Amino acid sequence: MRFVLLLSAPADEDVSASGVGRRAALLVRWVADLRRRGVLVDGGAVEAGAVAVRSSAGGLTVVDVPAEAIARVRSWLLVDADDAEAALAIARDCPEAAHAEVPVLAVGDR
Amino acid sequence: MTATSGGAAALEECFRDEWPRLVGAANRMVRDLGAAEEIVSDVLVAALHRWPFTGVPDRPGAWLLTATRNRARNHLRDRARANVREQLAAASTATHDEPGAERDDELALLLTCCHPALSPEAAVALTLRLVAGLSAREIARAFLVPVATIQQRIVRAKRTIASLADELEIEDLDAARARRPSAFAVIYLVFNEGYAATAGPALIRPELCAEALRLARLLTRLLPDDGDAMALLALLELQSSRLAARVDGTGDLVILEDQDRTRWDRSAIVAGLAALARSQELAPPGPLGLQAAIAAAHAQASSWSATDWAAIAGLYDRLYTLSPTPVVALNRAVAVAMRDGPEAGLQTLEPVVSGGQLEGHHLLWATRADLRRRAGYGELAAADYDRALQLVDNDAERRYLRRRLAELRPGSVA
Repeated sequence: MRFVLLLSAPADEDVSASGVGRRAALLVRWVADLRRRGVLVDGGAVEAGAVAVRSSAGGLTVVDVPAEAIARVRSWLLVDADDAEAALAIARDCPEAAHAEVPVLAVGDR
Repeated sequence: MTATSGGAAALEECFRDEWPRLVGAANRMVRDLGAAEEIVSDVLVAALHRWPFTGVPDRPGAWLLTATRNRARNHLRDRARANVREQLAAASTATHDEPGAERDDELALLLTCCHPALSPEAAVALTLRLVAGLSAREIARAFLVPVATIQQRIVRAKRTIASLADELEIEDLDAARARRPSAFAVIYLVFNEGYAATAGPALIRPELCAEALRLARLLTRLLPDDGDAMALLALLELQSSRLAARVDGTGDLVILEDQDRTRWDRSAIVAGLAALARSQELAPPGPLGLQAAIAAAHAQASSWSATDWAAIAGLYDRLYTLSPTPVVALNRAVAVAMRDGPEAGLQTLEPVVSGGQLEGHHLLWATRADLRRRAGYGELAAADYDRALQLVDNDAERRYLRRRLAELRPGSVA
């Protein structure tokens, strides 16, 4: 099965060079390990400035989405896992899980 | 740089190293330390979430600098919507990529954070935050104060800097360079707190010494032809070489006389001696150069008894001429005692005692106690150890003084 993991900004984020640097070192290593094991299908950063579309009365409206509304998601990973438990195990090992919740969404079979 | 484990391990170092250059570049563009800090934090967080998937760029520093400039331009553009003057600033920064500009930005940032209008505590906090890239939590832990205290110091310091904006705006870098001594003082203060903590359970805090060394190295990179900056680096390298030997396995103080010199860090001594030689090529020694030369004399001595005390006392004489402070006079008295005997040391120390400026400092009484002990005045020495004990705030030093007192008055101290 495939699952999406969402990595978000911690509520009380340490944005110092040392703090972000440590997290970056751990995250780079962890993602490289997922890739080496063949678990990572895809992933990337979420760009800032999200917009939403809504159609009504035959027209289409595009609106800015406030940062809070996109739940502070910063990056995502699409992973292969045998089942939900295996996907949760992957999420548990994510170094960012020490700072913020890592939602795991099942998105269907391979 | 690839996303290997080795490359990943280097990332934290990369972020730390790039931070002052990025904040300096952003600050030059937006003229607002708080906004510059936010911009760079955003860039680092963006890299944190991008590089695991795209791979770490071959030149991560260049990537971060470009991203910082882009975000600073966006910030200016947002501000400029309601302000024509800002539009002009935004336009002028668009061409800001002349050679050497990044180094100037970093230097301007460091000199701003160490501005003499700030209290020493505020300057230290702001420098460690904006130049060294430490979090308020890390700074608070290092100085054993609440995080809120550090946050307040940083906020107040930024406010003070903001109030100086007009003055700093018209100041050129040469004028700012005249404030170098403030930067030296801040870096030295950080080192000293790591080398001999004023309070708390531990005598040394190696992480503060490491931060001071990082800042001193940065300063010599920014001011490569400055003899005083090089002398500061020499002094810190040489002093830090003895850091591990200053405490024993239980964290108790080991004075220089009793240190195991095989535990001294030879690579730091080599680096310190090289920096000292370079500083002497650049300029005649000032107070920092003389202190570094004294540290070098200790570093090159194979034992306490083999130390060249005549040379050290001579260096202290020169230092006292340039910098006649009670602390220099105190150290000079010790050197004189080692060269000419404890009585001569006590005589040299007498004006420091009667001057009264160090009366509330335990080191004065601990030093006189030691000289009196060596001269055979046991009871007078014990009285001075008593006095020093009443004033000392560091637990390791307190235990050392108690041991000394107990040697003179067995059973008198718990």
